[in-house]
Amino acid sequence: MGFTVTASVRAALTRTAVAAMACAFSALAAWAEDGIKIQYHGAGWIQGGRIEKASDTLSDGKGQNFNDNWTQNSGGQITAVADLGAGWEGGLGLGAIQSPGVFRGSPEYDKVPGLTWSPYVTEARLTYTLGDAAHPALQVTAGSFHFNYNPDVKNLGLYLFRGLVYPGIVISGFETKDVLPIANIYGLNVRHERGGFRGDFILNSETDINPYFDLSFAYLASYRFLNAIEIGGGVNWYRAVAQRPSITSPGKACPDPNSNVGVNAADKEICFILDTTLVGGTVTKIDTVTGSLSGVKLMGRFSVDPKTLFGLGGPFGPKDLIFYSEAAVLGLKNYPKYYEKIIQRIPVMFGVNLPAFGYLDDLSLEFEYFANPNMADFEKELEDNSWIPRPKAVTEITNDSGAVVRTIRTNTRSDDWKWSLYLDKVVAGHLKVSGQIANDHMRTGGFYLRPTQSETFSDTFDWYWMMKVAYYF
Amino acid sequence: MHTRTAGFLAIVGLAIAAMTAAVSAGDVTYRITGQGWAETGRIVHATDTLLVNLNGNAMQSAGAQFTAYADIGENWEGAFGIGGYQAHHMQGSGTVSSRSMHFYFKNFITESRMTYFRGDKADPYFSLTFGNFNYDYNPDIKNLGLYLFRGTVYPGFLVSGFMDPTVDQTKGDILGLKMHNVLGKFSQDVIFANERQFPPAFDWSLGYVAKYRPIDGIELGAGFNFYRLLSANSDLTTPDLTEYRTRDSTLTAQGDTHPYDHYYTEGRIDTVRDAANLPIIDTATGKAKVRYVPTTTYTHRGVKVMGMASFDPKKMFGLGGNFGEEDLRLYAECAMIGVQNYGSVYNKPLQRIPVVVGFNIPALRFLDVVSIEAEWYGAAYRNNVSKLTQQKYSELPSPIPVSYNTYDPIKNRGGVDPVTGRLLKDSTDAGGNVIQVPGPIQIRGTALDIENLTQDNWKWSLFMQKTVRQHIRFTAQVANDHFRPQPTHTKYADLDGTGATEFSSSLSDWYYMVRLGYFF
Amino acid sequence: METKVHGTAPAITAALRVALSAVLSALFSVAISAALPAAMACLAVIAPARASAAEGAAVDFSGVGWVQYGQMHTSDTVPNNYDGNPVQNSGAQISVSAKINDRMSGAVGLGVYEGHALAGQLASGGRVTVSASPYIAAANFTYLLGDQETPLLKATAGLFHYNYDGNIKDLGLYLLRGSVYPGFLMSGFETADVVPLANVLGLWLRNDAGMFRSDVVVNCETELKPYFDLSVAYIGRARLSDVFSVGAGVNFYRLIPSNAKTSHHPFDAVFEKRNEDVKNAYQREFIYVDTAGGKQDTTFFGFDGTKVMADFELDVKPLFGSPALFGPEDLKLYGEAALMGLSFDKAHKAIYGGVAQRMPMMVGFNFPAFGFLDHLSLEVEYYGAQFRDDTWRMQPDIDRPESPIPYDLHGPDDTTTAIRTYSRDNVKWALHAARTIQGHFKISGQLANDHFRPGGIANTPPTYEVATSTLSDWYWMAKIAYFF
Repeated sequence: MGFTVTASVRAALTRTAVAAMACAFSALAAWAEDGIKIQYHGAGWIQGGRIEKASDTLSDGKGQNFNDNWTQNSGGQITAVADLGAGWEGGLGLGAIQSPGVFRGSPEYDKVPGLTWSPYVTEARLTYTLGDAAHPALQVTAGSFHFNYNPDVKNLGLYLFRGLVYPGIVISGFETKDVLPIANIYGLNVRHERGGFRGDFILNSETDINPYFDLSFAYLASYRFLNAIEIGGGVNWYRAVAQRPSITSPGKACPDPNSNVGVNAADKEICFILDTTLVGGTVTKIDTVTGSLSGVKLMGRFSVDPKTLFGLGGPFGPKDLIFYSEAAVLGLKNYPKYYEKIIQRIPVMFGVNLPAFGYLDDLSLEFEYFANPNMADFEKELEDNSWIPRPKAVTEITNDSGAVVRTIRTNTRSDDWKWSLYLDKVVAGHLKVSGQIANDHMRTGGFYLRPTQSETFSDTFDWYWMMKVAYYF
Repeated sequence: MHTRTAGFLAIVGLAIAAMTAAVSAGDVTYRITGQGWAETGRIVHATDTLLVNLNGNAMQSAGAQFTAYADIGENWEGAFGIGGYQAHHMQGSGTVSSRSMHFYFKNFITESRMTYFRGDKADPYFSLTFGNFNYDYNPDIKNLGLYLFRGTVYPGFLVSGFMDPTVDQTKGDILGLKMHNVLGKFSQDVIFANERQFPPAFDWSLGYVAKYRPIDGIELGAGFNFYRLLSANSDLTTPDLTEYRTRDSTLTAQGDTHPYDHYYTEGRIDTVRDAANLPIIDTATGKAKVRYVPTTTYTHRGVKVMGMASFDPKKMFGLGGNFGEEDLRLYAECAMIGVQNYGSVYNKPLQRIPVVVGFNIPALRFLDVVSIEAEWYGAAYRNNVSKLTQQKYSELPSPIPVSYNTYDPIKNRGGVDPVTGRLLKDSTDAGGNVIQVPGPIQIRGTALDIENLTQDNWKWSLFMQKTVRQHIRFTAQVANDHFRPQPTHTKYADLDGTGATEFSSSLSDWYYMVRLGYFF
Repeated sequence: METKVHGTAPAITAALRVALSAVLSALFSVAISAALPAAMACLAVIAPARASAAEGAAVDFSGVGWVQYGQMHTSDTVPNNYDGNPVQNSGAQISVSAKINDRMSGAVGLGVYEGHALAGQLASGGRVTVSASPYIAAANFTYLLGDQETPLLKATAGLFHYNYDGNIKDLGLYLLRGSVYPGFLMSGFETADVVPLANVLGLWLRNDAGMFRSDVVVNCETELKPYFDLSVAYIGRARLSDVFSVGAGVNFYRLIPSNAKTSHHPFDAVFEKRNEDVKNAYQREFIYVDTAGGKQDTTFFGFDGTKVMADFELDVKPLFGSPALFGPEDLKLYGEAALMGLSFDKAHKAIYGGVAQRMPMMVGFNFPAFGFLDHLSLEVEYYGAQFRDDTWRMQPDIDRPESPIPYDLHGPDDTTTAIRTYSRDNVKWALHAARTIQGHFKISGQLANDHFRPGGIANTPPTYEVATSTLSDWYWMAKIAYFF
């Protein structure tokens, strides 16, 4: 499903936005000018960890064995936030991270190409606030900025904005940019608050996963009451306005019918699904089902703090005992063969902050159930721009003579459950030690010979750990 | 001593002299400035789609930079800064380039310079700057112009674009040295700059710009630039080695070529004669021996000259009212890109003179500035630096522009039919043999005629800017200029990461960019 | 994490390594085990407040910008001809340091370096791309343990600068830079090891006790492959008087591997050469086979090893009352000697040489500059390594593993069995001068024949050889920097 908006409409939207900004600026031109106050923030860190168990060593071919792979990175960033007065604020920042380009893979392919320095922009935004900055009646942010609608989430969740719809890919990991103060949205945020109610409108231009520049529109609302309970929901019309409709929503005239993903050379379902109908074991009809990368995501969540709700005293830390949950729907429309049941497109996460009694700031245990029957690999989307998931890998079972007796598809059922234990502690207000043990949606990216976007962990008992020491101000 | 070494040592010597002659240091005071922006735009129309189709390609970027300025004592200022921005390949038109493009971040140094000055720091009567710094001799220019120090000479490729570092005064575009001097209404600059953008790299150029303000509201200026005066490698600045003449001699022997087909020289084929003026016969072939005699050796080195003027009727006639500070300014710049004629490629001086006229339409303080600029430049070749930057088009950087061979380096004359001027396509004859016949794409006489390109002679640009609360800036530009987009991921994989070709080849081509930024 | 000692390292060294490894492994195990809360409790001892005491931090900026230029004069054309090539770069960095409280401070610094590959000769066409790369100038925090005026321990962790001998301008500091097997040395003009740029990722513990100073440095390898191995070093220094000081150190290089197979036991039968394909010992990948006496003894090599170092500084000026005529650095004599690897069994000696071939010795002297310059230093080094200074074999590729065996100088048709040694690069030298002006400008320059590796020429695959590989080779470099 996709809203077939032409490029001229997209251009018109841009022109409208431009005109709106021009009017806004003209209105501001008469304002008195104040001095500005600039606050500098910085952070430096070292991080390291290891994949202790990763069961699937076959789906992406030889070399895909990330067991015992150590990885690490270090980096720093500086951000300046300027209070320009009269409700205006600007933020800009730069950072750099030194990390290996790929994981090492299995020992025989352990040829790490090298460590690279990768720069990034922490943010480049302008914000206008009407009212109290903490609870604005209206706040507009434009540019490249960070947005997180659910600060309770440490790892599993936030799927309204991260991941794809078709295919239904969810993304998570250790302290990703979605939970750190690093830009993850390029576009616009309009926020309004009244009492316990908060609404956010987001316009995002896709810069993470191609095809780029597609515009997504989202609206989120939350309501906090009794100072202890917060409920929220949202909708994201993902890739609502395509920059190249022929790519985002390809029809039957597929420009390249062959997959460019190495392990899927025989895959012909690139632009459309070939839905076969069997009668008496014989294929009688093949339907060509077209679709789109575009789709609608829904999200619902809640958070409860029983300490405040029940007036619990004691030595609890401010975040202790909070339990929270989030569920999302990745695409409302069903398609045959791969997206037949909506229930299989609903990841459900729930988490609880275990009591740490102040020794830790967070000790969060999260679980997630997501019965996605398809392979959690979006390399095909990157290489083929395909909305159709990658076929499950086939493993050949041979007898003692080496003859193939049967083939099985890689079992993805055991990756339905994910879990994560996250902890952190801020020391002296500026030093943060954090760590995580998890089986989540981390993707190594493949090893140097073969890039992939397969999830690293395909069995509930796969796991990795990561630790980080960061200093910030 | 190598001339280029001498150049750098001269800078070091001047720097030492300046530093040691300075008064004793006081406290250091520094300030940090910063700038962040998000911009978006699109190439709305690009006529030339033969090599890559950029029509409708979106562009988007976010960036940030910090620069530190430090005052040391009364006469020294240092500045250095870093920045980064998002960049991406262009999408092109096909799915291959579209899906293989990706975003990446690029870094830059805003400045890395030291300045010694005498007089008021804001307007010193003398200053000496060395390092990596910005030099803009004509702040009226928003896009088209400033060609004395940007672009090459032979060929005369021009450079411009939205917020190009030369125009954006927060970014350095010169690595070298600058001496500035003011004498009343007269000011002059000497620039010693190192070439880092176009190969062959590291040559040094020496430029001079003088300006005079006879009365308030009128400014006149002129300058010259001895481009590549000092060579890093003279064999690259003027490729004249015998071992690199083979292709030119072969072309000359073939005949029926265009001057742009050549690489480094033009010449003739002479018969080798003995002392008695008799042809020497090659016993193997039985034919007279011949040799290639270059008549013109092209070079990257050259001299640019420039004249400029600006006229502000508000100051001249005392116009007040609601006019903004920039309103009604009329300015012009004219340059000659290479004063010397060379061979048959650069034999028409008029084709080497870009003329720019600009006018600030009254914005009446609604906007800071609305500038419309127009340019005429009669160069007959395409603004495509492939023969400079890519070895597959020329072994050494060639001082000769691209020819039809760019369309197809394998086919003779790039596969353009000499009779019809259309691009050849494969076909089969009655006997099933593969032949080439003129296809539907007309090259000669159109915006694709890169050997006689006149449809791109006119350029234009509309620039708007508004600063709010002294720290928020809205900038927009609609233009047909010399913008070179980033390459797509499958084509135009240029060496320095920028595209080889100007996107525009006809008057109907244009793009727009909009930027929202904040700075302190 | 497991640690394996291979070869026939001296027993005491092996025992020390095992003990250190066990202690550090235990620490790491505590960190990663289910006893994480206990580890956090340990941190709570360091910072007693259970609630974060978020005091405001005083923030200071510092930065540096520079332009640098130089030129190569080299004779070797294999694999690249750098003769006459310019070397040009500029850069800028901004750092922020914040003092959190009396005990803790931190620093973050970002920089951009704009440079280029060398042009080679005519064939490259001068098509040299100038590229800008970011780097982290600093990302660390420091904690003082004990009395604030004279702390018992100063701990720094993260990305930081560490230099155990401030006298070194170019040649030296080999305890912490370069590899062991093979013993490749690293140096160059004002590298991160001699200017205040981060060159260590890890941990640094310092104890100052009057005339004695002790440093323990744990470094995570990010310069040479294989990456992420941890090396543990100890450097001690004794200032015996105003005139004389000595230092010594040991570095258990790659003591704790990130992958023991890759770092300590890289042997791979798939890539190892067959006996019949090997003409000399350098043609193997991972092993040395001793066939003397009709037997076949195989020794497996790894990248780990032990380095030791000793240095000194002699400043005679105090003997004469430190005349004002001389600058503070004038007339200093300093030197360093190191030993790259302590395994001297037959196999190691055959591949890497004996003591004489594994001991770089450097001496430096600051000529009197009488205040016109901060220093005018001449450093001379002798290193009798028998192999060519080229780390190419440590760079893996699709069809080539990382190998701890040096570069083979045999041509394809050369069937001689003896290792072809290389000795034309045994002597190195560097003349470095600098002048700081008004406390914020610095002009420096160097003429040298050192271990500078340009990395290859533009538009060709990278290479890893030292540019100046014979005594007649040299380069000059000049730099103008401004800092606050």
